[in-house]
Amino acid sequence: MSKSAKRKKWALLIYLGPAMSFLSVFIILPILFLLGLSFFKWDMLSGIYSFTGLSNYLGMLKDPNFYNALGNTVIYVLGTVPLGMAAALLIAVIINRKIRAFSFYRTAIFMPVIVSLAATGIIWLWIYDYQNGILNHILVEIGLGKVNWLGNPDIALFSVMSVTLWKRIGYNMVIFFAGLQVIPTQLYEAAKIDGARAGSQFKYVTWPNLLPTTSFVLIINLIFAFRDFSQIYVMTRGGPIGSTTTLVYYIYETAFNEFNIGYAAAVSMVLFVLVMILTYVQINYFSAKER
Amino acid sequence: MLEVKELTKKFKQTVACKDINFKVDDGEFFVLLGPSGCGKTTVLRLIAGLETLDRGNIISNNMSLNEVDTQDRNVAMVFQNYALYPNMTVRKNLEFPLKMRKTDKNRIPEIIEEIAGLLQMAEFLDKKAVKLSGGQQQRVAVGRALVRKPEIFLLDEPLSNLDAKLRQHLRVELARIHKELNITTVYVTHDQAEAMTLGDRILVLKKGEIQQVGVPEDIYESPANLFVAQFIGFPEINLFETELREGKFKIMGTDAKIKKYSKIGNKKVIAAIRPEDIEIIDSGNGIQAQLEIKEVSGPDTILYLKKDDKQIRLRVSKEKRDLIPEEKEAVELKIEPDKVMLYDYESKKLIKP
Amino acid sequence: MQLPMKYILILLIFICACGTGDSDKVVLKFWHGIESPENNKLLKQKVAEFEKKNPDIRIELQNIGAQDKAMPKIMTAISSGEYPEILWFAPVYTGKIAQSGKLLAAEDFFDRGPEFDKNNIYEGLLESGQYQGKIYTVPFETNCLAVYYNKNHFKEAGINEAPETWDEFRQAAQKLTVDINNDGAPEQYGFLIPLGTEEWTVWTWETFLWQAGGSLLNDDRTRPMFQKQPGVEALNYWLDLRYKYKCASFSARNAGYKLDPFLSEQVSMMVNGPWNYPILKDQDYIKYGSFALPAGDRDATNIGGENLYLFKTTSEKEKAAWRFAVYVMSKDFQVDWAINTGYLPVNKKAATSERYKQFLGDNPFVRTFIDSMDFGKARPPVPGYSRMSRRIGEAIEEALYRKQTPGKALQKAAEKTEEIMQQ
Ligand SMILES: Nc1ncnc2c1ncn2[C@@H]1O[C@H](COP(=O)(O)OP(=O)(O)OP(=O)(O)O)[C@@H](O)[C@H]1O
Ligand SMILES: [Mg+2]
Repeated sequence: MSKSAKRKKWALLIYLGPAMSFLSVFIILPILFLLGLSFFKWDMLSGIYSFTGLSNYLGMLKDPNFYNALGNTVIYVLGTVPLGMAAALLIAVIINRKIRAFSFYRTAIFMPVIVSLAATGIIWLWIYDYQNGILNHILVEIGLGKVNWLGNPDIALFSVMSVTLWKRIGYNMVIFFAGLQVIPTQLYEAAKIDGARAGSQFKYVTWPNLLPTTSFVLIINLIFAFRDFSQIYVMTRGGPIGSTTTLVYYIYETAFNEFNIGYAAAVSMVLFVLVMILTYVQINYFSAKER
Repeated sequence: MLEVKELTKKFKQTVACKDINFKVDDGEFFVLLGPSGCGKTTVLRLIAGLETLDRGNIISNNMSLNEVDTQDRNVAMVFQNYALYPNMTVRKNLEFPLKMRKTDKNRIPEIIEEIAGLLQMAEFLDKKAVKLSGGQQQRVAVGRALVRKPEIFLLDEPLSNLDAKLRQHLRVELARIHKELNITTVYVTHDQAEAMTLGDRILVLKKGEIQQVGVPEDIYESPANLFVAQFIGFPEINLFETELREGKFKIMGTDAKIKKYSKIGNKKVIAAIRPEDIEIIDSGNGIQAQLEIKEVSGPDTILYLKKDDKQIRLRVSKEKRDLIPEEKEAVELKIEPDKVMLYDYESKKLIKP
Repeated sequence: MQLPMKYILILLIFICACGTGDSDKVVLKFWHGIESPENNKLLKQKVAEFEKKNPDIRIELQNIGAQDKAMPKIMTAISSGEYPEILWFAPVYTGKIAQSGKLLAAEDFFDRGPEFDKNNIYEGLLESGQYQGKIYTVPFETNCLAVYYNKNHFKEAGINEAPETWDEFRQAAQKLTVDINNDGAPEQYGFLIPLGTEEWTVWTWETFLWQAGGSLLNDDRTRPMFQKQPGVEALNYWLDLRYKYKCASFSARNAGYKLDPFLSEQVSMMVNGPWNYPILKDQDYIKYGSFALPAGDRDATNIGGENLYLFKTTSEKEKAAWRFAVYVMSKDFQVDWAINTGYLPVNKKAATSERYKQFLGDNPFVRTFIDSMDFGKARPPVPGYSRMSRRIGEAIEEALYRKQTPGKALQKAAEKTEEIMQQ
């Protein structure tokens, strides 16, 4: 190895070292620990671990609650991510056009982002309340019947998803907005001069130039959607009859109400692998596009 | 034909341009010249419809463009920093205006071929726009503007980001292309040399107001006011405060007389004389001055002299080079009174005999 | 070399002085989940009194938040060894926590001092803290369930006597259900069924199970029994109230304990405990009253409350903690606590004291609960209780939502409980 190459290697270590050790202590080690746990049976309290091999994973295959949670997660992700991104993009584009005139709306839309998820949940719990909630008041006011937003197992998941959307749109919007601001105005002017109207400007200028931002937002949103917990915990506790139990909530339930830590770890690993695969596919897709 | 009437645009406090009037004939190469911040870009953007005007009229082919969207103006523009679509290849960039204007798909390749030939872009047609050199990008920008044969072609300092040699080269290219296509062109620059060589006519702007419009020779030989006189020409024109009395005035301590000014009354004036109109002589009875610095500028030599604590600038041609002494030595000068222009001390305007 | 040493010494003294102002005292961490501000204030006051009497002990109070959400926190604390010396928690988790091996058996302390007499404490309450035949946790406060009712509604419906049986109760609920504007959806319902899967729902339902003659587990607490006929009857009774007779409404999920529907007069009767008495007292009991839960096959109510969990630490601390427990179970503490909070005393001497008797005379609302204690039962504190309870809760919810018949839902829960019990 030449001298300069050696030096380069050292520099790499120095630069990456802190981040790498942080990653390994706070992320990689816990994941490995979790992976290990998933082969055991452990109830957290009694110091008794017993190695059970793959039985946690095999149990999952026969566990209707796991499939229920998986199905709910898929609905939740598919329902919140694309819609949350599309709406955020639309609002960001509109605001970006009339930036000054809209500063009020910008705050209004960003507000949900600052409010913590748990507080959001509590606010919406009140809005959704069957007897006294403002939403049902309005429905009754305009002559429609009450809806049991969080109590009806056919509706509850969608009610929770709406809250997530409400919150996530603001977040996404801010990122999209930042991405839009970076696109040079001259590109739009050039496009105008070339004869492009709003639609074509979006298609040929906004969309391609926003692609890195969109890719980032998509990955973040997917990870968020798979991880969302507080609003479910606060608003529905996974119910009624499991209709809002997503994988994360199911993990919580099995770990902290059932004290079945090993099984929860196994479900966590499934979730982890799922998110890894999706992220990997996306990064590949987008970097191929950029090239 | 493009006509601009009383064009006025304010940005909050700043008046970007005020009461601008000019006409550009079909096929003419019209140059807007002025120092940075004088409103050149604003005028172009108003013509393109990228800014809304406060007052005035933009007329093309006897039709007002004021209410017409940019997209429908049939005006093309090259931006100062090119504004190519970074994610598209050169070919896609060139196709874009055609696609937007619903050009027959089958004809597009042929048109691209032609424009690529004209601008010598064939070898990088399929590269991404961001990966080109500055000069290549500039050509693509011009190509993208010209590909749809616009009625009016606007260029905003298209050469200012390039190195001197490339600038020179592309200037010639632009002149050639203009000759070939003969599109009505408005060209913005702050570089007087570019303006002089390219422009059929030049409009000089200062702080949003017109100073002079005319062919390059007029602008150079009889600048309408001191601003134009000083702005155009290198090195800067020599100015002397003096009194005009019955056609006579004193300049560098010697008397001079110009017949054509004899009818004008006595007043304070500023005499202006171009550096190349002061001669070096060795007769022994000329004006005495001291040489401070000499610089070679191509075939000519630029001299900076000192006379009564005032700097005097000279441009000496090759033939007279032998007469130039060493720095810090004395020089003898002679002025041709007929070449002197007089400006009113108060109004700074050219006094016309 | 001289100078730094001096500074270090000063620094050391300073640190010591700041760190442990009362280093000679035994410090006990006491975790609790008491929610109402008034009760928190009272606790502080009583703790201060204790500290005055025991100058060598200092109690550090820490509120760990609502009880049904505190379990994960407690579990993590125990498994990481960061647990407190004293914990206030529902007795039913005794078995689960005792399994960890970190819990002290209170019974071992019973004879170690003159102040404590086990016979003064209600036997049933001591049993509620048993694990493997030994008393681990001791009662702090107790309570049970009865029915709250709206006096005006009763008058309007012409009901003069409290219903005593399931049938009478159902008939009353029917009379109390009023559709004021005749839109087919009553504005006032007779009864509030606590919907949800969490402990409140299950706790309430268990009283109906017992009234129907059933039980949760078999006698040696090894196998589930709630899925048998009485359980199905109990669940069917709720379903009928809701769907057949349409005289009951559901609470918000997992919020069956909340008074809002009752106080806003949307329901006329609900099941609840004595601890809301300070709120209802403000109305002089003009509007609201209480009566014992109706009998099915027999009378039954569910005894609740909280126990003190003492953890293994140093013998000095353990002794101090036990002293605190003795103080809590003493007659004086119990009377003060009961009179101010509405909880019921755990000490017989407190319950029969003049002060308390007078209090009951003034508060017939609370008397209902004291009387109900006669037929009260506590949940079995087996280690698997919380998991079994969640299974039962899920079954109740599925049945109430009519996704499953009561029989099948309970059967499924029982099968899972079998698994839990075998572990
Ligand atoms: N969008 C705008 N908002 C506010 N002021 C502006 C705007 N555009 C231009 N101006 C101001 O108007 C004046 C003229 O600007 P303009 O860009 O037309 O000058 P220019 O002659 O093109 O200068 P340069 O040679 O540096 O490009 C300047 O003072 C500038 O600050
Ligand atoms: Mg400009």
